[in-house]
Parts: sequence; C-alpha cells; structure tokens
Amino acid sequence: MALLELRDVQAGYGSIQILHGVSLHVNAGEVVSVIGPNGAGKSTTFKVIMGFIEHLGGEITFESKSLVGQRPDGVLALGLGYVPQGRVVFATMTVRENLEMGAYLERDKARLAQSMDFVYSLFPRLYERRRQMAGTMSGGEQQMLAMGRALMMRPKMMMLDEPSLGLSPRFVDEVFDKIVDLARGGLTVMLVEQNAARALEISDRGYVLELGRNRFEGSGRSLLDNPEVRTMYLGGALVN
Amino acid sequence: MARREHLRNLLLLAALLGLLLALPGFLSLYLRSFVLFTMMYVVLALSWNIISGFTGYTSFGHVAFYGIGAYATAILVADYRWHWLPTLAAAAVVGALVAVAIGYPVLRLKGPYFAIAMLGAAEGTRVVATVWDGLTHGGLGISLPSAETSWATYYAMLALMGVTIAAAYAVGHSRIGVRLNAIREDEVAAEALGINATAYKLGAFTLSAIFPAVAGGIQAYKVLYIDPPSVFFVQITIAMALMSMLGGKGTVIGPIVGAIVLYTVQELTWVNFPTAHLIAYGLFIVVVARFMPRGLMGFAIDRGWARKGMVH
Amino acid sequence: MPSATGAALEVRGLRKAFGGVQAVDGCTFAVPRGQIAGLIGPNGSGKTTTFNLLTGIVRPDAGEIFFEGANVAGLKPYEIFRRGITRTFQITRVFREMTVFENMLSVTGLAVPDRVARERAEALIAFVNLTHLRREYAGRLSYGQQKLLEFARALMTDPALILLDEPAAGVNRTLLQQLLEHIHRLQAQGKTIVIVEHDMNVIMNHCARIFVMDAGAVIAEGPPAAIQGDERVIDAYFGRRRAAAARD
Repeated sequence: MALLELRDVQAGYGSIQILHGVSLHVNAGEVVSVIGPNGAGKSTTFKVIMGFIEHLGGEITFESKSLVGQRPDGVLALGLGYVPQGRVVFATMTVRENLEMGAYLERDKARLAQSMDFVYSLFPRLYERRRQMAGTMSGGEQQMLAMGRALMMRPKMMMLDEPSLGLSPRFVDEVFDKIVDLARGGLTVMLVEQNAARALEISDRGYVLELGRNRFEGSGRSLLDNPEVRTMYLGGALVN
Repeated sequence: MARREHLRNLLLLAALLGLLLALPGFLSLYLRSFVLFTMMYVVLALSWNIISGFTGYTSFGHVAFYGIGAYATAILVADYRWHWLPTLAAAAVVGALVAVAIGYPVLRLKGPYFAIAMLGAAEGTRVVATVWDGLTHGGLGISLPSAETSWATYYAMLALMGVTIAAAYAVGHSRIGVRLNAIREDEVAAEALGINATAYKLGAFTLSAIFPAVAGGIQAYKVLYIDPPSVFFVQITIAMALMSMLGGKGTVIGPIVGAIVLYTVQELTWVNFPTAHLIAYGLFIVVVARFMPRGLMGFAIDRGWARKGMVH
Repeated sequence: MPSATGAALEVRGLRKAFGGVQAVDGCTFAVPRGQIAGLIGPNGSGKTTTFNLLTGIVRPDAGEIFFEGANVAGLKPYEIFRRGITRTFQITRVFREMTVFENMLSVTGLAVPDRVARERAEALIAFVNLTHLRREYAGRLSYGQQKLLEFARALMTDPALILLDEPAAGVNRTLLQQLLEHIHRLQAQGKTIVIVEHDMNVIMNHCARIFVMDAGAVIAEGPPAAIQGDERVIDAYFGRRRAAAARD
C-alpha cells in the first residue's frame, strides 16, 4: 500500500512548465531516491507535493488523501516532513529554538517536549549544542539541525531535497549515515539528490527523471549498475 | 531626439525665462516673492531628481547643501564684507566640495541605507552649524546687511533656474542620463556594460548639490537672517522629494511641473484654509499618490500624451 | 607571461576561497580563438565562481587571466567590459524602466560618434527582431524578448569574447534555437564564445571544445564525444561511490 503516490503530475512556475507527467510511489518503510541531471524537475517534484508551486495536472495522494490544492502547513499536518535544499536554519536562533520552530504547529507542551527528546536522542550532537546559535555551526551540523527540525512534527515520511549539496565529503558521509539510521528506525524517506551514486547506494528503489518526465526506475542496485543511467547525466545523443 | 526638438525646447525655455524676466514690474511684492519661491523649488526639485530620480539614489538629506550655501553667502557677506554676487560662486564651490566629501563614503550604501545616511548628514551639518559658532555664529544666526531691492534676488533665482533646467535637460536627455538610469535600474548590469558606477554616481551627486547651494545663498540674501533651524529645515527636503515625485521622478518636465503645482497648492491652502491648511495639503498629496503613483508625467506617459523614455 | 598560442582566453592557476571553502583550486584552461567553448561541472564544482572571476564580480586570491596579451584578473567589471569581454546574465537583467532603444545606448566605451552608435543600436535591434518594440519599456517585454534584448545589448561594442551565463535557462525550445543560431553566426564572424551551462544538449551539440570542472579545477577537456565517454566526468556528475571515494 503506497504511502505517497504521484500519478502523471504536471507542474510549473507561471508560464514555464517543468513537470510533464511524473509518476512515482513510495511504500511505507522504504527509502526512495529521485535522481536525474540538472533541470530534470527533481526539486520541483517536492515543491508541488508540498504545495509551494502551481499544480497543473495529475494526482498526488498521501495515505489516500489528495494533496492537490493543500497549503504547505496542511501538508505538514498530514504527516509529511520536508527538509528544503540548502540547510535552511534560522541562523540567529539557537539550536533549541530552531527545533521549537519545527514544531510550530504543535500546541501540546508535553508532546513538544517529547519530540524534542526524540530528536536529541537521534542527534546527540544537537543536544550538546542546544544553546549554540545555528549560524555558527558547520555545514554538516546545520544539515542535521534541518533534519531534526523536520522530525519535530513526528512525520510518517520525510522528504529531503539535496541533503549533500555544498557539504564536504566527510559531512556527506555523516548525513547519509544518519538517513540510513532514520530509515532503519522505521521512517519512510524520499530523497532528491545530485550525488546519484551515494543516494542509490542507500535506496531501496529509485526514479530517474529527465526534463520533467520519468526515464528509468528500479531498485537502487539495478539503477547503480545500469550504464545508461550513468551516461545519461552527460546529455543525449550527439546530433552534429 | 532630433536637433529640431532640442532647438524647440531651447526656444520654449528662453520664452519662459523671458516672460519671467519681464514679470516683476507687474507684480505685487507678495506675488514677486511667490514667484521667486516657486522658481527656487523648481531648482531644488530638479536637483534632487538628478540623484534620486535619474540615478535612483534617493536622498533624504539634500537640504544640507541648501543650508551650506546659505551659510557660505551669509558668512562671506556679513563677516568678510564680500559683495553678494561672488558669494554665490563660493556657495557653489563649497557645496560641490562637501558633496564629494559626503558622497564618496555614502554612495556605497544602497537604497534605504543611503536615504537614512543622507538624513543623518543633513542633521549633522545642522549640528555643526549650531556648534561651530566661531564660524557660523551658532544659534544666534547671522544677520546680513540689506542693500538690494527684492528684484536682484528675483533675477538671480531666475538665472539659477535657467541654468538648472538647462543642466537637468542636458543630463536627462543625453547618453549620460541613460547611463545614470542604467545605474538606477540595475547597478551590477550597468557595470557589466562598462559603466563606472562609482564615478557616475559621484558626478550626479555633486551636480545635484551645486544648484541647491546657490539657491541657499540667494535665499540668505533675500531673508537677511539665517540660523541653523531655518536653513537646515527638513521640510525643504520633503518638499523637494514630493515635488519631484508628484511631477514624475526621472523626467525633466516632471519636477518643474511638480514644483509649480505643489507650491501653488501649498500657498492656496495656506491662504484659504489657514487653520486646516496642512490637512488640505496632505489630502491633496494622498489623492495624487493614490491615482497617479508615477506622478503627473507617469500618468501622461501611460495615457500616451508623452513618449516613453528620455532618449529617442 | 602572455600567451603566444591561438588562445583567445587563457586562465592560469586561478584560486579563490570563501571563508574556509576553496571554491576554485588551481583552475587552468585555454579557450581557442574563434570557437564556441563550453564550461561545465556539477553543482559545487566552482564553475560559477570561475565565471564570476572571469567577469570581474569576484577578485581571485591567485592566478592570471590572459586576454589579448594582458592579465585582466582582478579588474572591475566595467574595466573588463572595456577590454573587450562581454557577458550576459543567467536571469535577464535588462533595464526595465528604460526603452529597448535606451537599453542599447546605455553601453559605454564605443568611441564612435553618437549617430554611428544609434545606427548600430538600430541594426542590432533589427538583428534580434525587436524593431517593433524599440520604444517600449524593456520591463514590458516577454521573458524571451528580454533575453534577446540582453543578447543584442551585449553586442554593441562588437566584442571579441562573449561569455554566456546559462543562456538556456528558463528558455523555450524555439527561442533557444534562435539564440543558438545567433551564437553560431557570431562564431562564423570570428568571435570567441564561452558558454557556462547545465543543459547538456546545448553543450554537447554546439560546443567545439568543452572544459569540465570539479572540486575547483578543470578535470577534463576535449570535444563532446571525448567528454561524454570520459569516466572522470561521468563520476563527477553521477557521484562517486563510497568505496571508490575511499580509494582516492
């Protein structure tokens, strides 16, 4: 039973259409990656699910409820967590305050405290630095914070947009290790990544998009080993 | 713009100046004063428009140059017994030097930061004028010896207005003006097209300071007594800005029309609604801002009565 | 020492760091004269910073950029423009509240009489088929028309070297075709063009020589066929697998 399902989704920005009919699904407990060259529409897929951009056609359902026309806070309330691209943390707030912001929709103080403990147990480093200003942390730590913040709402599924972007190799390892830990703990994860190899390594299944359309899909392993997928990143057939 | 058009505009300006030249004899003292003040506001609005309208660096402190010019003239006439006319040249020079000194650091700031910094600069000059009493007589102010009729200052202001209009026109309708506009629209893109933005900004800023300084000098000689609060009067900056915006920021005719209209309205409301004139004046501004946000010229261009762009 | 080869632009050992991050780490390449060259690389490869170093938006920490025998590294953007290197922007930066004609005339360094400048402006406006809009505010043009205007504006000084910043970004197929035709026409006139792009179809089908950057340096260069088959380039884009990374 698919937790998240997209059927023939079209989306764009104003007059520019990016997605021309993308279909995918994520089952509970899976790690699924969406990869593809620049301009493929990977981030746009996340944005249309979250309700940040214009939905032009197709179905988007989460736990059988339609997400079409929902505002982002509505999508969050349904149990989808989202870590946007670029380690977006509130730089002048402490780690703790950032996490509190992540549970902005949570009214119950007891549950808030519980969620905070939950995130601290997953990310001990964040507990150590709970009073530190987020802007003074390293890139890797900020990415952890962004992930922890998304987890404050105890989502059933988390979507991460390019978690490795701009991180040094050491932090890339840490971040992917953390994602694997979260998945082992039962969290459903969907990943958009430019570092296709690393993403597919930790994924159960993957989708390869090109120019806003599905191009390949399969298990993580089979996509990793598929030579067509690797060379696809460098453009189509030479015409000249 | 064809040479023919420039010639026609030059003739129009000459006609206007000629008319104003002949006028004083037919006017009462009050009206002579009124026309003089109107001309002064044309000078101020056009000057403000050079840096704020053409170049997009909105200054909230241009009154500083007006005040500096007033003090230059007052000090030279009262303390050094200069004849009044040469002090106007001195006012222009002092205004230009101060503009370069302030402009060099302050023009590095963008948008609202520049505006506020200029406000600070204006207040700063007022404080300096109050404190440096060895030079400026401080809070006591300076009294000038009276010798001229009101006709001399009228003609001086007329000449200044003529020069200011000519300068604003020469800048606004030339490729120099196009480059200033480019800086306003997108400074990074302008630099990428070879425009040395720092030099152009400083040039525009200095030019925009010279005419208000001379206007201040003329006014000092007209009112015969100045002190810091009266010449560094923030209302003057507000008036400059409003007139320019009302008429159409970024054009040449705009500030001229804006100055004439707004000053006339200001006087009419003062005369006819003495108790509520500020409210009536404010109401007028609100109505215009609501229905003509790009000023009178903007309204005219949108209707097709005037052409888009400054260089054709 | 200036280059004696047929290179229009020669970059040697460029370095630039931001905070603790070495964005450009010894970047070296030479763009052959009269060709269309491509500069590509995955996100974080340093190609954007390199482009900014070439156009004077950022000053290098070390290294040289030779153009027509002189080192232009560290010059301000307007100085670089006056030396004959022109650039366009990824997102159009036309002067919105100025007319199309005024946009063309805003360019400096022409050293020709006013009348000639105006004639050239009109000719270039016609070149991109915008004559009917010459009196319109640039801000009212469609995105595609603005792209064309920016392109025409960049040609006012008849530059020898043109740097294009993601010309295909946000552009539909038809307009892209038009732009590419113009680019090829310019190359036929003897100009050198460098394109920074993500769109592989544009790069692989229109560039004679491609330079690939990763981790701040050029890791491969050559004609499209060679680049497409180059394992290092594939790895750079596809991502290195952890075992392979441990080996390096």
